[in-house]
Parts: sequence; C-alpha cells; structure tokens
Amino acid sequence: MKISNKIYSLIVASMATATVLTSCESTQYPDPQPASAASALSARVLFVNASPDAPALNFFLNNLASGTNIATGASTTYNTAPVGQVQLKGKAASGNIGGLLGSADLLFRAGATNQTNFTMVTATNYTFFVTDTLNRARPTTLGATDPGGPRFLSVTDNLAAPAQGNTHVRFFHLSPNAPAVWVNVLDGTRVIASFANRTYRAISTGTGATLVNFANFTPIAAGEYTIEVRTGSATGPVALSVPRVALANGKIYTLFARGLVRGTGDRALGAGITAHN
Amino acid sequence: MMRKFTLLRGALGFLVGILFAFQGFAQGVTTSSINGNVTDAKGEGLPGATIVAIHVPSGTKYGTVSNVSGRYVFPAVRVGGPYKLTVTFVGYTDKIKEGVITSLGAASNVDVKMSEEGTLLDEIKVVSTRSDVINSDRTGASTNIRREQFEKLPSLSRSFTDFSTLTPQAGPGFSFGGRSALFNNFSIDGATSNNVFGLSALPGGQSGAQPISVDAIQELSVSLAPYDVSQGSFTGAGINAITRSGTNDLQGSAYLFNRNVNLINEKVGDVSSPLTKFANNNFGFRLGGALVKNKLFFFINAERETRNDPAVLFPADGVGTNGVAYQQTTSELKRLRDFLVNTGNGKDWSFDPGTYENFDLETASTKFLARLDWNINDNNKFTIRYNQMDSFRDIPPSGSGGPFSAPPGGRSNSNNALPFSNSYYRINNNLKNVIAELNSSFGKSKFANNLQVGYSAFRDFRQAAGGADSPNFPLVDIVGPNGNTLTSFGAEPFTPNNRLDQDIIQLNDKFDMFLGKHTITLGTANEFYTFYNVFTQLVKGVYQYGSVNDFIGAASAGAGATFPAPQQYGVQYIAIPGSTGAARWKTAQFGFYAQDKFNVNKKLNLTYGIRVDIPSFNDDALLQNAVSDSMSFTGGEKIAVGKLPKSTPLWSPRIGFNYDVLGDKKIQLRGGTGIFTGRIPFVWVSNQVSNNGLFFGAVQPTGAALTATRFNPNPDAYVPTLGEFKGRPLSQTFTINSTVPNFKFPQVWRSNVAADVQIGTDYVATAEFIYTKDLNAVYIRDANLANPVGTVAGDGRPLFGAVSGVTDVTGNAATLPGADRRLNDRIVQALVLDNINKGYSTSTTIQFQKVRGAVQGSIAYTYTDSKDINGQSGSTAGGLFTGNAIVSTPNLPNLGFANNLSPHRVVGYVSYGRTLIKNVLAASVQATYQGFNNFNFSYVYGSSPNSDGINTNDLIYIPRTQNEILLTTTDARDTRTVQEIWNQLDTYISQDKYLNSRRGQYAERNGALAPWVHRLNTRVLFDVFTNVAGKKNTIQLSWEVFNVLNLINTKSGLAQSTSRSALLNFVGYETAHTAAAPTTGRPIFTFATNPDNTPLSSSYVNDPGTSSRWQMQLGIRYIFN
Repeated sequence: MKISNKIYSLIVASMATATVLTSCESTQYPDPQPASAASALSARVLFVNASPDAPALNFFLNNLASGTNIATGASTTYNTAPVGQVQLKGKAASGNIGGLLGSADLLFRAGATNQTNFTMVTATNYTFFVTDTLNRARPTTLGATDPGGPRFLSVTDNLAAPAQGNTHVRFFHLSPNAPAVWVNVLDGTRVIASFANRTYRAISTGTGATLVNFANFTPIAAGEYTIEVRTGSATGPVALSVPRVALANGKIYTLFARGLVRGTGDRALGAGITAHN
Repeated sequence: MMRKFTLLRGALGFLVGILFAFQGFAQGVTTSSINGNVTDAKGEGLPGATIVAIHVPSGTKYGTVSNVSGRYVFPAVRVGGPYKLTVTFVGYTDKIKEGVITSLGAASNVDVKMSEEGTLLDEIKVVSTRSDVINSDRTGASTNIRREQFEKLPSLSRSFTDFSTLTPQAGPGFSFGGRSALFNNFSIDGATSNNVFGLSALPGGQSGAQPISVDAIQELSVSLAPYDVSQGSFTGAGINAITRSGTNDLQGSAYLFNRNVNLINEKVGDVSSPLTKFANNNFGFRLGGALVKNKLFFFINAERETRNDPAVLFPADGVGTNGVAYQQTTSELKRLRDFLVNTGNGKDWSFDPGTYENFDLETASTKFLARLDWNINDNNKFTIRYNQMDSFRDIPPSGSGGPFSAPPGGRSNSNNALPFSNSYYRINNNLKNVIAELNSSFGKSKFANNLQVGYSAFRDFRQAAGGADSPNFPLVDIVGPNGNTLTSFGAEPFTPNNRLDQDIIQLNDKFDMFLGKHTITLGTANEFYTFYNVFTQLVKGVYQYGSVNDFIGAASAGAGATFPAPQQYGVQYIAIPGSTGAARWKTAQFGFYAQDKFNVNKKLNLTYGIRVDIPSFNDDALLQNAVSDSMSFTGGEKIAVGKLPKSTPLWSPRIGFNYDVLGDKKIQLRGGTGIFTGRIPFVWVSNQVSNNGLFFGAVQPTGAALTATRFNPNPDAYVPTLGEFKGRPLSQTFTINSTVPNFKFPQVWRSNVAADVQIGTDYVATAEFIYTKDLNAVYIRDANLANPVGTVAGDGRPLFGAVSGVTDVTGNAATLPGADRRLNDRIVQALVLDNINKGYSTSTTIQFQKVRGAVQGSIAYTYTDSKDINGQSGSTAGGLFTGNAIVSTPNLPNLGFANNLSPHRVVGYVSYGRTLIKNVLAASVQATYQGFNNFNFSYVYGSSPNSDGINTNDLIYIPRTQNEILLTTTDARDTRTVQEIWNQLDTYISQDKYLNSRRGQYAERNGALAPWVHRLNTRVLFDVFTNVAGKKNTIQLSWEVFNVLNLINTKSGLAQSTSRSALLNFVGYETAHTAAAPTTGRPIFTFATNPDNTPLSSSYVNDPGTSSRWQMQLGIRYIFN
C-alpha cells in the first residue's frame, strides 16, 4: 500500500509539473514597424485634352479632381500623384462623354482585361494626352475589353531646366486620321529642329541601341518660330504651317498635331502646344 | 539502404519465429477482455477456480483458471455479448453471472464471491457490466461508439465519421485534439485502413465514398492517449473499428435510404437559393449466421451508394439572374463541335469532344464485406475478413494551369464557360483488404497470443467522365469575347496516366503472459508498403486560342498557309527515355514493444511499457540529379534527391495509471504520460521521388516561336526526341523535394489526466486534460531561399530578393550577383522535409453521461488550444510550404494556431426509445448536437508583399491609422478616393472583433474564428414488428433531419463563411524591387468593394451550401433476428 501510494503520488506530481510547465506558448510574431506618416514619395501628372471631338473634360487621379473643364487642346497644370498603381480618369465636364463610350468614363486601361491602373514611378513627371475621337471603334483584338472611344496616351516629362536662352520642345502626332508626318521648327526657312516620320500616337521608334524616345525634349534657342508639318516624306507636301509660335526662354513645350484631316472648326487640323512650366 | 531493409526483415522473421515457437496469445484493438477476482465469503482470493465464459449468441466458449491471488483474465474475447460466466470450485456452489457485455479495447470487470456448498446455485443477472467509463483498464482519453448507436443516431452520409465526431476532443473533418487528420491511424479489424499515402485522410476521400458500411461495424473506438504500447502509428488519434460477426441465430437486414433536392431547404436564411436537382440512394443488406453451430460463423454486407448531379448548371444561351446573357452560345459551341467531329473542313482528322448539353455527373460506390469466425477449439479462435470498396466520382476539368498559365476564369461551367463532356474526369478510389487473425491461449490460460496478417491494395486512378479512356488529344482552351475561357475540350490536364497504387502488408503479433499481478506483453507490429505513383500533368499539351474562329482557322489552315497563333501552348513530356513517368518505391515500418500491466492493488493499476518504431526506406529505385546534387544550398547544405532518410529507431516509453480512489468504483483517477510515434503521409516523401527535376521536360514557346506553333491533334507533335539520359534536368528551372538524412517520423509526448465520478447509478461526470508536445514535428523549408535582403518599409517584416533569372542553363549552379532570393538560379524551390521540436496542443474536457435507463446520452464541452509551425494538412510538400500563413520567413515560421483547431466545442447526444404497442410498434427519437466555431482562418494579403515568391501567405498588419497603410484604387473602374477606401477599411476593421482587437499588430495564422454554428440533428425510428416462425420481423421507418434549428426557423442553424480572408491585395511597392536594388518603398494595397460596388462591410456571409440548410433523409429497413 505504501509503495503504491508513492508511485501514485509520483505520477500525479509529475503530471502536475508537466501541466504547469507546458501552459500555452505564445506565437511570438515579430514586432511590426509601421509607418508613422503618409508617404513622402510622389509623382506629378499633367493632363492634355488632345481629342479632336471630346467635350471639355474633368480629370481625376484616384478619383480626386485634378483639373476641371479642360477643353480640347487645353491642359491642366501638374498635379501631385501618389506613386505605384494610380487610377486615371476623365469625365465630361457636363453631361456625358458621348460617342462609343456613352455615359462611361474615360479610363486609363492596361493589362489583359483592360482594368489595370497606371503605375507611377516616384519623382517622375507624366503627361497624359486624351487622344482619339468619340467614335474610335472597339478593337477586335482577341480578348480585348477596350470599349473604344477616346483613350489616354502617357509619356514621361524630363523637366530639367533649359540652358539660359534656350527652350525645350518635343512633338507628338495626335491627329487620328492623319498619315505619318515630318515636322520642322523653322526660323524663317532655316530648320532649327525637326521631328521626322511621326506616326499617330507613336512615342518612340526603334529598339535597344536604335531606340529614339519621342518624349525626350530637344533644346533650341528661345524665339518665335514657324511650325511646318509635311506628309509623305521630309520633302512632301505641307499639310499645315503655323506661323509665329513663340517659344520662350527657359520654358518647356510639347507640340502636337491635333484635330482631323478635313475637320472644321475646333476639329480642324492644327498644332497644339502645351507648356510644362 | 537495401541492406538495412533486409536485415530488419531478417530480425523480424526471427522474432516472429520465436513467438510462433511459444505458440501462444491477448487483448488487442480487435477484441475485448473480461477479468476479475474470485473470492470466498470472507473476500480472500480463491486460487484454482475454473471460470468458463460463453458468448451466448455464438456459443463461443472461453475457459481459464484463477491464479494464486484468485485473479482471472480472459484476454481476448469477442466484442459485444451477452456473456454467461460460470465459476466452479470444489467445495463451493457454482456461481453463474449473465448479461456481461464487453467493449472494444477495454476490459469488463466481473468479481465473483463464492459461497460454500450447501447453498443454492446462485444465478445473477448482471445489470450491466459493459466496460463503461469507470473501468480499471482505462487510462487515457478514449470514446467508444457501439453498434446500437450506429443503428440509431443520425447520419446522412451513413459514415462512421459522423459518429467519431461524438468524441469530445474531435475537431473539424476527421481531426482530433487540434491535430491534422493525416496523423490519425484508422484500422478495421486491426488492418490499417486509412489512406497512408495521405491524399486524403481516409480511402474514398476523393470519390466521396465511405470505406466501410456502418451496417458492418460492431464497435468503433477513438483513442487519443492509449498508454497501451501495443497501439501505435498515430500522433493524432487511433480509430479502431471492428466488424460484426455472425452468431448462431440467422440475422439480417436490408435497407434503402434516399436524399434528394426536395428534402433540402431551398432557402439560405430567408433568401431563396434552390440547389440543383440531385438524387442520392444508399441501399444494401447484411446477413450473419452460423455455418456450423457454435463453431463457424459468417457475416456479409454489401452496400451501394449512387448519386447523380447535373453537370451543366449554366447552359448555352442561358441568361443570369442579373439579366446578363451567358458567354456560351449554342451557335458557337455547335459550330465548334461540328468542325471537330467531321473530317474535312480543311483537316484530315476528327475528334469527338463530347457534348455541351447537360449530362449527369455520377458518383457511386459499392462496398462488400465478408467475415468468417471459426472457433477452432476453446483455446484457438480464428477470424478472416475481406472487404472491398469500388468507388468513383465525375468531376469537371481542373482550372489549374499546372506548370503553365491558368486559363482565364478557369475551365468549369460558369456564366462564362461550358467545357465539353469528354474533358470532365472520373476519379476512382478502389480498395481491397483482407486480414486474418488467430487468437490463442495455452498453458492453462497463462499465455495468450494474437497473430494478425493482412494485405491491403488501394487503387486510385483517373478516367474521362463516364468511365471512358481520357482522350488522346491535346487540351484546347478557347477564350471568349469577354476575356474569360468560353470552352475547353480534349484531355483533362491532370488525368492521363494519373494513378496511385498502394500495397500494404501487415504482420503483427502480440504475446501475453499472465503472471500473478503482472501481465507482461511482448509484441511486434510491422507494415510493408509499396507505392506506384504516376502523375503526368499536361502530358497531352494545352493550347489556348482567342476565339472559336482562331482555333478553326489554326486547325484548318493548309500547309504553308498562314494561321492564327495560339495565345499559349505548352506540353510536358517524360524526359527519361523508356520511362512512363512512374515512381515506384518501397518503405516499411517495424515496431516492437514490451509492456507490464501491473495490478498493484485493488485500487491501483499501472501500465508501463516501451515501444520502438523503426521506419525503413528503400531508395534503390530513386534517380540522382547530377545538377542539384552538386549545388550548395543555405548554409552549404547538400541535397541528394535520390536519397531517402536513414532508419532511425524511435522510442516510445509510456506509463498509464488507473486509481479507484475509494475502492468502490465511484471515483476514478486515470491518465498517464508517454511518447507516441506516428507516420507521415507517405505522399510527403513521394514528392521527393517524383519531384527530382528529372522526370519531366516542358516545351512552352513564346514570341515568334508561339506564333509559329500550328495546332496539331497529335499530343506529341512538339515533344522533342530524347537523347541519352544523363541524370540532368532538361527544364531550365525546376523544383526539387527532399528529406533531411536524419528525418524522423512525428513523435509527440502526450500526457493525460482525468477524473471520472459516478453520480447515483445512472450518471458519470468526467474531467479530462490532455497535453501534447511535439517532439519531432514535421516542417518544410526551402533550402534555396536566400536570406532576406531587408525589411518591408512601413511594416517591418523581412523582405526577400526579387528573382533575376537564369544565365547559365548548362552550368551546374549559376548564381547571379545581387540579392536574388534563389541561391541557385535554376532551382525554383528546394523543399526539404525536416523536423522541429515546436508545437503543442491541449484539450480540456468536461463531460456528463447518462449511461443507463430509457434515456441515455452525453454532453461534453472541450476547450482546445493547438499551435504548430507548419499546417501539416496538405498533400504536397509545396502545398504545406506555401499554404502556411507567415509574418517572418517561410523557412522558420512562428508558432501559429493549427488548421484543425476548434477552440470551443460542445458535443452531445440523447437517445430515447419506448414500445408504443406491445409486440407491434416501437419508436425511438435520437438527437445529436454539435456547437463550434465554423472554422478558423488567417487574414492575409493577396499576392506577396514580402517577395518570397509565395502568394497569399503573408499575414496582414492591421493598421491603426491611415498613415500606416498605403491604399490605392482597385482597378480602372473603382470610383472611390483613397480617403474613401481607408474609411471603408477602417469601418470594416472596427466591425470585426478579431481585427479590431489586433490593430497595431499582425494578424495571427488561423487566429480569426468564423461564427458559432449550432448543429442539431435528429432521427426518428418507427419499428413495426411481428414474429414469424420464431423470428422477429421488423419494418423500420427512418426519418432523419439534419439541422433541425434551420427547419424550425430558416434564419437559424446557419453556417457562415468569410467574406474575404485575403482582405487586402498587394499591388506593388512605391519603388521598384529588383535583384540588383531591393525596394525601400512601402507596399501598396487595394481593398476591393463587393462585386456590386458596395463597400465590404461585414466579415461573414451565410454559407450557401448544405451546411446552412436543413436536410432530410428517408429510409426503410427490414430486419429479422
């Protein structure tokens, strides 16, 4: 009896010890180090309404108003944008956009299902052009869900200050039905700068070592110039000539072909100019 | 390795030889026992008294003699009864005790007090000596479920798992005590019957079949902590079922149970949501009797279950409830089918893709069981039992891309997609099992021996739906106008050749010696496994086209003509000449044990013993990978994919006790402590045999090569001609699986202490505490994962490097400079199965049982806590590794709550029966109740903000303020500002009790609990009976209602699931993350709205499945006995 009691006490004691020693263990996740302030990183975005027939537009970055009532040919100022994926949107300033989009919004669309937002890189300046007519056909590309109508075209802007006495200029072809163009910036008849063989919405040509990025600015002396647009070749017929275009010292400009061939009024083929600073 | 294997076999043979020489026998998990003390009128032990026990229904006779202290034991008797015990001793009046009932794996105690001659023969009807709760044999937690309960308690699927959940410590699925269901051992008549390969816990897991009919089960026991060392092979629970035996009376039954869609609530809550039409029938019979009275008995059972479900729920030309037409139209599908089935149309072949119209998905199983019991003589009883299960289920094609990109929107029938019928597949789960058992006693019952020999053959394989061969045709996915897959046809991607054969041979022997107060047991338990596994995913190739037109254009273009390019093409091929891609390998587990059961005194019983288990792997058939073998991994580790772990003996000492505090069987303390050794699901090891980087090569053209890929109906058209096999992978990058050389099978140290108190004559209260500590837990690490390159800004968790690609395919271990997270660029992951000594589980139970009377029942509450390092409930090493939600590194996760943890659980049953009209009509009502949190889950980020290459495994940080998280719009259509998104997220966190309590902290793995579920099920039985020729003939009507609360009120008895556990989606860092320059930017997340653009405002939604609906089953049964 004595022995059995001892055995019994021993068992109970060891079990009790085991129980006490083995109470719940914590998960011991590391301590978080959350941020204590909003992000310090940002990008900047400027919107240009370059559509031949879109109504005046309001622009939004992640649904925050970023320029209102921007008529065709006009632009917003730079808006601060967060970095990473950001939604870009245009809405008619009043009523609907119309055309194929109908009452829908003009959205930046990427990815396989055309639902992906734009990815902003920190400390980068962007210009977003609204291009195309209200009735751009819905593409028949396989799997595409692009609804047609106006759309965004994005380029990055190098806003490094021009040298003293200089101005910076670049050119994009944003006239939907115009053929490839050759653009000269003329001081009288002297070619100061030229942008050769620009096709609609092209923002670069070539790849690798031969890559030419049309978003890069060309420095020229500040002054008043004639902008001459030719089709077919560098010596082809002049489709458009815009005289007395003042390009000021220290300023940065984007020139773009806008409107439609055979367009009239607001839709007439013309040169748009956006000042970046 | 082979040598060791042979050596062990030799040793085993020797041991068995010795045991045979002893020719001896004891109580195992297939039998019960009866013991007690024979005393004189003064209570002194009477040595030499003769005790004869007769199992009355079968006349099976057992005899023994009491020992020096008057103690006697029948070590191995048939489970059930009743038994009649007759005690005779010269000079004393014979004593008879009747009505003794025995239970599986527990002893019945029958003490006999003799009186001197001259008194009348003393016949006593024992009220109930069923080896109940208070029983000197009980040490650790166990629950027995008897035939009467199987026959009466509700179970829709007629599955024994519906009954095993009556165990207080049961958890979700087939799990116990918070541990993975894969760590259980399930045996039928001692034959290993769980799916040891582990693709599911039980055979038939993939085909929805039950391995054995409940009509064939005599008794089921669930043991969590048996300190009897003869029980092994689990670190979860040991579940033992024994089958019925025939008796001298011919007894039988035939039955039919039906469920269909009309017997299920068509509402979820108060929302109408009818299920699709189906019919489920379960019918069968059982018959038992004697071939030779008192000598040879038979029992047979056959059962078939069938279920048909419609395959097409979203037909062609259909329109959704939102008024939007489905993408699939008859015109397109018919055009495609017509093109395929006819030769011509610009092609010289034809192919039958099957139909796009509705057809039945069949599920069926047939089970058969036969058992013979032979009473050779009083000392030798022989049993042989055979059972078979043939089962299958038809399943829609998998939506997975395997090694290639998944088709957009998946492949199964939806409002976008309608696959052709021949791309559905049928999974077959078949099982054949035979076991023979010889129970012997000799030396005047001083010795006993139990010998078991068994063989099981599991055959799992796939076919095309309907049982046809999977078509020898590539899989073609066609994307429709809205960007989602419209249809698929051809061979299902994972079906061709898919096969798993498991063969298990068992050889067990147990030898008992009854020496006074000691019962010494020596035994051995051995299993030999052979696995044959073929898994050749996408071996027929997969094409993806952008439209029906594109496919037809591509398939009908003449030679030299241009043709539409596929959007994707890929094919895997067997890279070893002459190989079928099959992995065949062998393993074995040897177990030896010795134990003493010490009856210290009338109050105290001790069981102590030691067991050794020796797993042994045979890696002769494994291939060596010359490339990965030469690589160095984390810390210089070398990995040999062709080597399986060496044998490590695993020791399991255990001690258990039972103390009858007052000596009157009213208060009992019991428990013990000891080590339990289990096995791992062998698929975890098999992963290494197949995933060695060598078996398969892949062709996946891109760019111009893809454009030039012409559709070819020959699956092998683009498979390259194989050169000589050099033991080098053909794929540019590959994953390897391996096991550390000194890998040990799981071991736990489990302690159990409990008190049972009898209250009055009818009630027993139990308090039980179990603590389990992992000694060798299994965890998976990626030896190719480099150390973190920093921490995630604004969060603090480790950040892993980006992947920089492969430069040198021919080289062995090309490593790029920079912070690439892959140490060896060609290795995607090197998953290594390893051990860790972390993890534990506790369960604390309070239980009340009413054990006698017309109303019987039980109610128990269990609190469980269980944490582990690795979830351990997946079937692949990859799944175990990537399915584990983490904060730190996937290679050494923090302890987290176990997947199967159900912290609070209430379970009970009650049963009441009475005769309504004597000899004509009886009725009984039974109910079971389970209350539990529906499930636990982890709040994680979508995608991978820590850049470890594993999606949806990073636990979220729960922000306190907007400054702590960068949010952005979900996609181009989102109409919310960042401020609005934060407001919605903040509101969501605030309404979620768990998340709100953890603001400023990380969410824990499985830390969130879905709402409580009340599950009350009932069954009403009406018996109409009459006697015909001395036999009772009964017609029994059965009415089962699952989820009665929901029947009473459609808003009650609901089960809820999470609205979204991947709460926030990671969409990128503020600055680029490259191998050369790890990001310092903060991660950016989206918090999506509901599909209808309303804010996600509630954590849970009603589960639309059957768990939120009442369900009924009607049955009719004929019984004669």
